[in-house]
Parts: sequence; structure tokens; C-alpha cells
Amino acid sequence: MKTNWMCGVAAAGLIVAGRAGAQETGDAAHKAMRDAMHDQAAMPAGPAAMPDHATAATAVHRPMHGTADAAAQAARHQAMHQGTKDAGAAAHTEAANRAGMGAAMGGSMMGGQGHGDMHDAADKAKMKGMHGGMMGSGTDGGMMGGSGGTTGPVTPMPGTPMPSRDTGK
Amino acid sequence: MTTSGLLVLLGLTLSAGGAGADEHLLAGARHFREARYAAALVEFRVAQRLGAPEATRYAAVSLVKLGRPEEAVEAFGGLDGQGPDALVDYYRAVAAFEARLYVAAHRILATVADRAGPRIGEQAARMRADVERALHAEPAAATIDWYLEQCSAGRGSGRPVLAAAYCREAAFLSGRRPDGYRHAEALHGGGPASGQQGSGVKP
Repeated sequence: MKTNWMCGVAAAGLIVAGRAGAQETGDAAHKAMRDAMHDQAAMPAGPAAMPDHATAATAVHRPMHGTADAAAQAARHQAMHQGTKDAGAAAHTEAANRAGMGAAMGGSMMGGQGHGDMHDAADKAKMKGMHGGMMGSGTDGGMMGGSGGTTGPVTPMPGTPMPSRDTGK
Repeated sequence: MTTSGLLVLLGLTLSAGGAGADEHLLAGARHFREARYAAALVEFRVAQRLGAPEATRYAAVSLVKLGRPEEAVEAFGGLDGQGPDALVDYYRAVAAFEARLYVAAHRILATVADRAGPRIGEQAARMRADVERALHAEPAAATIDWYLEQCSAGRGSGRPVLAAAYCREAAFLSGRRPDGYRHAEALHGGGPASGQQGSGVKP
């Protein structure tokens, strides 16, 4: 009876400690995400252009956001955080990046089609990693599932190549 | 297994489960910060499934950065009203803008300008001015056709939020034409104008 009581207290302690740790992680995540969202809040790729018949057969010119700008931003951030990142986090992000690049290349080779399916597959793989993670094996297993070919063109949308801001108006 | 063992196991499980969503959220934020938006999206989706409500918004923001505005609009859950976070609303407006939902983008941007910082506020003002220029002329019939086609395609592909947004855009634009071109159809969500109930679309 006494042992059960002590184990109950221990379990409650674990829960409280776990929640406190999760709260700290959650707060850190929100702060990191807010800072990143703020730093990378870009303008749209082109000016507003009303679609019409003449534009209906061509795809919207939609360059990837955050390619040049965000790459530079990422390089700055990496330099800033180089000294503070722990090795595990670095390995995790690198593994994720490699997996993401591989999957993205695959998506590009397929002409960018079917990225939704690839995302589903990545999500499933990630979920497997997640279940492993809850049992203490971390998240890298999931990340190796890749992140889906997302750099290809999105759903074909009617539209014109958007005119330059300088000359199009 | 004894009761005591079960209690400790319960404690461990609950602690691990609580931390799990936040860890994925943090991993997603790190990927996002380093411009690995596809990886960030995966992490946020996992966090979302683990029960982190804010992960939904972050996933939508990642979709915006990935150049998938239509999916982002759907993931944001719509373009109505003002959200609690001006920064997220800014991304919501960018998603709308890039999906050519200019009226919706303009409406959201109006709420962002005063709440976001000076840089985001200035960008929002520039986008609004750009939208106003695009909306200045009377909309062509072909433009309304296009929006209604997108509405129909959105419904067909299981994106009701996006479909409703396109129909609402069509309804607003057709309302600005003297002939009200396909206005009733747009108001009725892109379906036949007669014999159907409205879908809540308002110009």
C-alpha cells in the first residue's frame, strides 16, 4: 500500500515535470517561429493582376518564395546560431534537410506532379518516427521519411506571367 | 504488472506525449528559420496530429512559403475576419493575394497594418495599394468566369474553403458590373442560380 502511494506521487511528479518541460519547449518553439515568420515575411512574387481569358491557358508565374532572400537569411541565421546549436539538433536538421532535398529532387524529376501524395507518404513516415519518438527513440527516424517534393509548380492556375512592377503599370 | 508499475508507466507516457507535440513544433520552427519549409511543414503536420492547435497555422504559413497558396488558404481555414495574430494574418493575406483572391487579401491587410510592426505594416500597405490598382477597372466578364471556374474546381477537388473564397470573389466582382454578370450564380456558390439555396457568399 505504501509502495503504491509512493509510486503515485512519483507518477504525478513525472507528469508535472514533463508538462513543465513541454511548456518550455512550446514557448521556445513559438518564439522561434514568430521570429522566423517576422524575418521572412516577404511581399508576393508579383503585382496583382486580374485573370481573364487571355491568361486562362498559362500558369501563374509563381517563383518560390524565400529562395534567394530566405537562403541568405538562413545563412545569416546559421552563422548566428552556429555556436549555440547543440550537436543533436544540428544532426537532426541536417538529416531532415538531406531527406527533404532528396524527396524534393524526386518531385522535380516527376515534373512537380503529385506532391500531395508525396507529402502524405512523408507524413506517414514521419508519424512512424513520431511513435518511435514517444518511446524514446527520437525523431530522426521520422525525418528520414523525407518531406515531399514541394518545389515543383503548384496546381496549374490560369494566369499570365506577371508584369514587372516598373513597366507593367 | 503491479499497480505501482502502471502508475509510473502512465506518468512516463503522459510526460512523453505532452512534450512530443512541442518538440515537433520546435523542430518545425528551426526548419522554417533556416528556410527548409518542406521539412518544417512535415514537423508542423505531425505536431498538429499530436494536438498542438497552433501547428495548423504554422503549417499554413509554411505552405505560403512553399508557393502553394491555394493549399494555404484551405489550411488557414478561410479568409474571413481578423485573426489573433497580425503576423499570421499577414501570411494569410499573402496566400490570398497569390491565389488571386485580391478582395479577401485587401480585407485582411486592412486589419494587419495597425497591428503588425512597421516593416510588415509598410508591406501590407504596399500590397493594399497594389490590389486597389488591380481592382480599379470594371472587372471583365472573363475574369468572373475564371473565378467561378476556380470555385467549381475547388469544390471538385475537395477544397470547400477555397471554393467558397473564389465564389465570394466572383460575387464581389460581378456586383461591380452594371450587368451583374453571373452575379446570382456567384452568390449561390458557383452552381445554377435558380432553385438552390445560397452558400452564404456575400459580395
